[in-house]
Amino acid sequence: MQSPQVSKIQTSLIYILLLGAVFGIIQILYHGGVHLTELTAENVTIKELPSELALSFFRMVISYLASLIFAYFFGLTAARSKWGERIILPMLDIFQSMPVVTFFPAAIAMFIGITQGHRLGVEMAATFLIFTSQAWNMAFAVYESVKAIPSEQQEVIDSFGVTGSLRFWRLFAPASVPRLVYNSILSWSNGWFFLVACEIIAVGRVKYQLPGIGNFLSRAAEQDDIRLILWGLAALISLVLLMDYMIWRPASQWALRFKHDSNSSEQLHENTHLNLPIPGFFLASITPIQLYANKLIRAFFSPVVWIFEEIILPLIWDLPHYLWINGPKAVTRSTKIISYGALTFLFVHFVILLVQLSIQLLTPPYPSILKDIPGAILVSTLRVVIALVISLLWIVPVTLMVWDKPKIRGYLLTIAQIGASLPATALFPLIILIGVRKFGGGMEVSSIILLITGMQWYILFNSLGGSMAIPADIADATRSMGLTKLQTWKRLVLPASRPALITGAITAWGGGWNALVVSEYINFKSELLEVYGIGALINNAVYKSGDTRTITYCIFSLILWIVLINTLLWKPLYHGSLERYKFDG
Amino acid sequence: MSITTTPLFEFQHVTQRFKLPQGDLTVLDDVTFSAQEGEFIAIVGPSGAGKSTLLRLINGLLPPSSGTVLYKGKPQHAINLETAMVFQNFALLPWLTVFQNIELGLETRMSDPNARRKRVEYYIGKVGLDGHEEAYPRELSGGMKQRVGLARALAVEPEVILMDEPFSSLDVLTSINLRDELLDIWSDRDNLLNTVVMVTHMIEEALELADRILILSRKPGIIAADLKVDLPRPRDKRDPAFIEMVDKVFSLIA
Repeated sequence: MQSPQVSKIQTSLIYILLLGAVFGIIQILYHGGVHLTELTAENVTIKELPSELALSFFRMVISYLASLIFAYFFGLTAARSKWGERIILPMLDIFQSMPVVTFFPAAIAMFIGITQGHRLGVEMAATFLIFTSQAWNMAFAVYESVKAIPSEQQEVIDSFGVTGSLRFWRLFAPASVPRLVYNSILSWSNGWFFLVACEIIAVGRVKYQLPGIGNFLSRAAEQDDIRLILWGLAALISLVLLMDYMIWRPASQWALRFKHDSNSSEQLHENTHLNLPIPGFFLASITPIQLYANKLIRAFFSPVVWIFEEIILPLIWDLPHYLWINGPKAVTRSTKIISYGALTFLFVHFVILLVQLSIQLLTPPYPSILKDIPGAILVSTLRVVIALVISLLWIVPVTLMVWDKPKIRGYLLTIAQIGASLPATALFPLIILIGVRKFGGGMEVSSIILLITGMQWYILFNSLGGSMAIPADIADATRSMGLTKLQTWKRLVLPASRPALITGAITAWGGGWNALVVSEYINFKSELLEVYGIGALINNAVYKSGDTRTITYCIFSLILWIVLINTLLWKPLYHGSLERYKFDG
Repeated sequence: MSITTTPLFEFQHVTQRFKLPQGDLTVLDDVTFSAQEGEFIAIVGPSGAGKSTLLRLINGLLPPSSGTVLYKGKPQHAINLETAMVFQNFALLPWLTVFQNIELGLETRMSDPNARRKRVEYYIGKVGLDGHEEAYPRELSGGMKQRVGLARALAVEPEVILMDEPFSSLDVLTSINLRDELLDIWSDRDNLLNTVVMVTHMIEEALELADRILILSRKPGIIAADLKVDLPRPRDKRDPAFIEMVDKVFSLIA
């Protein structure tokens, strides 16, 4: 990874700007008190849109950078050390399958406690939540890429005695670029979803608001102002598409350079058409605007890269290495003692905390809500299942219709890609306003519609992708035999798209649980719209009773339930179908 | 009254173009020829000469850009169910067993499941797949997979069998065996099969099997030569006449 060619003046200018921005924001957060506590009484106007969008965007950038650092640190540690692998991987796996939004109410409570009621607490909770929706996926990307480095390459680097940060820049960083860029695109979309969710949840009778685009949309909905909502949505969509066009698209093009070139043409094909949630019409070629944008972005990031390269990495990699290998024996020993001591201390502390928590949770009297949890989870599960089934009911026939029509399929894929990259949560205020208020539909119907908007794109995207992977000669073979349409669907298209369909369903399932919490409990004007379910239970516990034990019980049971379904249902289903239904030539 | 034999199939001024981002690519340019029933035709030529395209036009997988393909004197507009294809990479469905793969083409043609089963079993025996009925393609070697491909084509008892480089994904020994078996099946007059069109890039293979060789050229995509092969069967590759023929075809392609 070459550092971009940027002049010193440019670099320092960007530094000053960056520092200024950071200070400015800290100032605002601490002293400005932008509608800090009580609900804002004034109506929201279009004038606030740019600043609200900018605020959301800023939150995204911070979380993304934090995720990036996390990903490299933990991804590399897991890939490079046996112990790291054993501890970090299962944790990432569990974190990844958790419905993070569920934690948001609890996280607000916690961070507000830490900051003693300061607005910064909400801000930290939101950033933390967005981070949790981005980081695991990216850490996996680094881990898997580093693991996949061919041993020959590794040996070449070793044989030249390249170590420390140089080794990172010459070997690990380039090797992880392609997957990291791909997963970053997913993480970025995830981030928007959660960001908007956080901002919506934080609205309401709670004392805390999170200004941003989600907040803007909810408040516009409360004002019954559909035009304002549409403006907000248009601004958000433009930003998402612009990011795709200016950053992710050039980045993924650039990432192709770092691929190991075995059967590169296939991978190229796969990458440009299937994996990347980038609209098809952006795929044609890189335009001068994009090149310019790329330059700007690299200029912007060069200081960040510099800090990472010159300060953080040497600290992480070179210093311990230096001490371990070159340092005098005494230093080595004392570092060892200190680090082991610190680790032991942390571990003991952690265990004590865990024991305390368990005692606290398990001693009676149990909150009365405990017996409601299984029922609530069941109802919520039913809701997610219904949304999943409805999504499948329209997507499977559509896939069957278009699998052999590349043009229409291409358009649909573009739609699915755009749909998947837009945060479905942003539509919630509009759906509530129209569904519940204007047409008087029940909250029950609306909550399922909300779930579907969050789930369907993953399924459509994967299902179309699966049908695309049918080898041309097999399609030809069934055609040349004169199979009927029905037979072709049954024998060829359905089985062929099955693994992809299951992948899509799993992704949608995960996304569904996250949308659930928002969709079961929404504050609208001063009215509370809720349906019975685990999401509503959690929100109620946080906002009404504030009972930590109830919150903990709810969250733990939900996690347990989701992990259970993942390991007992989805994983076997996925592996089974992959084994049986893949084309192996 | 003169007896005119209608050709089994016939190409009349067939041109095939493909739209590519770089512009149109003409693969076959005004091709005219006809084939009689019972012929074993090999199509050879450099890569990109439209050999596979020609095969797909006979089958009806592709409609010609211009010109007509006639089958038994009638213009062809859809998939021709009297033909069956064998593919270079077998094109088997991985989730179906050997039996189900072979049965696939019969499902539309034979409604009686018992008759269908009998037919499948007969051809499984014919290509030497006994005992592998319940195996899945991934459990078979390349040679076995192509036997399944062959049985699948034979089972519909087509008038013409179209083979697209059927032996080029196989190792040398396997392909020798399978070629011999194909000749046995073709020369066995019990079978309805008596017309074969095979694409190959191996000249010796073409000369070993075919009665007639069409040599396609690239740019323009025309039939550069149409040769009769009168060598007696079984053919011997060391026969001077065979070697002479190889040289001749080679000079025509190069």
